[in-house]
Amino acid sequence: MTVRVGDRSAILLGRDSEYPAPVAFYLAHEMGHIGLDHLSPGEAIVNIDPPEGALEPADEEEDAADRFALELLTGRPGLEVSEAENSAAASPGGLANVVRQEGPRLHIEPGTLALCFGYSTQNWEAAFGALKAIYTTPAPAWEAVNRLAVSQLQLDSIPQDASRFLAAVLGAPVD
Amino acid sequence: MTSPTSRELKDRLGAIGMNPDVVDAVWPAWWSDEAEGSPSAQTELRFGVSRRLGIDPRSLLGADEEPRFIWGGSEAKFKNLTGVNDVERTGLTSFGRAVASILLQATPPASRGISPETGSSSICRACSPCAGGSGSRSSTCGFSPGPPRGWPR
Repeated sequence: MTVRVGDRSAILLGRDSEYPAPVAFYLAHEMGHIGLDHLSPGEAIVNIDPPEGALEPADEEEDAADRFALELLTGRPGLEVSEAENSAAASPGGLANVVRQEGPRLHIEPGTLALCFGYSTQNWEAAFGALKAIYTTPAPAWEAVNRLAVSQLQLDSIPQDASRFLAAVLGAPVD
Repeated sequence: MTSPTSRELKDRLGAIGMNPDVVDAVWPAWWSDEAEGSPSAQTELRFGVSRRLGIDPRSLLGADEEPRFIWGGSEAKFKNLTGVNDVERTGLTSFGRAVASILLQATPPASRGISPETGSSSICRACSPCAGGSGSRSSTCGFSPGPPRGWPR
């Protein structure tokens, strides 16, 4: 969910994953709505699709936000997979091997590369299956996201009750 | 101990889908048994709680009114949202806007807009393995700002 308040916007994630790549895509997608000026003052965009659905273009704005996210995370908006690449990466294990090898060389985080493959080929079974092999230790991604958010917020600049409320929403202890 | 009056308010908030932990978080630290018996404190409680949760304070003042969210669903674009009724939509919008307002109050203004380039640079700067100029990139992170050199095309 992205909310515009005045001339500024905030992103609220209500969807989590045990792996960082899907959450990175959700965040980048919402950043796309902000960067592409899809929100009027006081307006919000709410999207609560399942992960697979969120990566499918639903309308012009969603399509544009997807392209923005892909460009942010990979360096370019368009993706194509050759027959040979598709064949080598068709299974979760095969895709995990390919992206672990190619990711560092291409300067793309391997999990993100696996999701790019899913986006291009619609083979989401292989893409999400590969995430299990890429990330050896599943962990709630929201904890890392909110920990980073708390580290960048100036909580002492707002009233104490607001700070306490924000800490509860973020699920993070705040002094 | 919570008296029937504040207990009743918590029940009304719970009935519109507010998580008890969130309600507890907006409950003022100064609340006490003494405040429970004070009409002015009860009013201040309702104004404070409503402001944080995006609820119309007037709907909390009336004894029999159902809490109403301030922002309607018309202020939001709902994308492919199924199985969610109007009350839940207004709740999502109002609660999200209330949280966003506090978040932005606590966030220094950005000095530039968002583009894929500035976004990728910011991610790299913020990512803990790379932050601080140590140069020690995580072994699983191949992320780098700028275009990749090959697949995907």
